[in-house]
Amino acid sequence: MKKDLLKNSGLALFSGILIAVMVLANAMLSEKASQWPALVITHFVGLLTAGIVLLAKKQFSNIFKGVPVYIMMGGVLGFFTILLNNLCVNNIGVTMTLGLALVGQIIASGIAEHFGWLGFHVKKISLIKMPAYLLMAAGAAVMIIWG
Amino acid sequence: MIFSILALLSGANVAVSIILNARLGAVKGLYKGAFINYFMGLVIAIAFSIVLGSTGDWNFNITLVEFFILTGGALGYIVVLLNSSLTPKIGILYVTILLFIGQIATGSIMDMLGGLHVSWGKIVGSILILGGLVYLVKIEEKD
Repeated sequence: MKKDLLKNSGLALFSGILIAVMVLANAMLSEKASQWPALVITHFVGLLTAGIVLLAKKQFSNIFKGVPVYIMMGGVLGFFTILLNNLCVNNIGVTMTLGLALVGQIIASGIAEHFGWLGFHVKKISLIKMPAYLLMAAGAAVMIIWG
Repeated sequence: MIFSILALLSGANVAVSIILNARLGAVKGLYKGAFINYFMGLVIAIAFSIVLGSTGDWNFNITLVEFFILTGGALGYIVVLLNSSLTPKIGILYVTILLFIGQIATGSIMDMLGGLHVSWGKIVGSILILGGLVYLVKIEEKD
C-alpha cells in the first residue's frame, strides 16, 4: 500500500514535469512557426495520438454518437488554454505562467463552486478556507510585482 | 502585467474545461473523450488560421534537434491519461499538489536554461501558492 502511494506520487510528479515540457514545447513552436500554424500542429499531433490509441483499442467507431454539443466545448476551451499559455510563456516564462494559471484555476473553481455555476456542485467558501485563497493571491501578487 | 492577467485567465479556463471534460468522459469514456477534445481544438485552430493567418505562416523549418517542439499534443495526451489514472488512487488534491511541484521545479530549470532570470519573486511566489494549496487540501480533507 505504502509502496503504491510512493509510486503513484512519483508518477504525479513526473506528470507535472511533462506538463512543463509540453507548455515549453508548444510555446517554442508558436515562436518558430507563428501562432496559428503552431496551434494547428499541436492539436493535429494530439488528435493523431488519440486516434492511434483508439485504433489499437479497437474503439474507433461511434466516436461522436450521442454527445451533447455543449460538453464538446472542453476541446474549444483547451484551444484557448494553449493559445494563452503560448502567449504568456514567450513573455513571462514557464514558472510564472504555470504559477499564475494554478491560482486562476483554484480561485475560479472556488467561485464557481460557491455559486454553483456551470453545474459545479455547490460548495460555499467557508471562512476557514480564506487563508488558503489569501496565501495564493499573495503568491500571485509577489510573482507579478517582484517576478 | 497583461500577460500575468492572461495566465490567470488561462487557469480559470482550465477550471471550466475540467468540468466539461469530466462530463464528456462520463458519456464517452476517457479515450474517445480525448479524441473529441483534440478534434474540436483542431477545428477551431484551423478556423483561426484561415481567418487570422496567412499561407506564408507555413514557411518555416524545424531542425532535427528541435523535433521535441512538435510533440506538445502527444505529451498533453499522455498527461491526460496519467492524471486520470492517478486521481482515483491518490485523490485530485494530492495530484494537483504534486503536479504543481513538478511543473514549477521543471519550469524554473527550463527558464534558467532559456536565459530567463528566475527571480526571488518567482521563488517566494511559488512557495506561497504551494502553501495555500496544501492548506486548502488539509481543509478539504476534513470535510
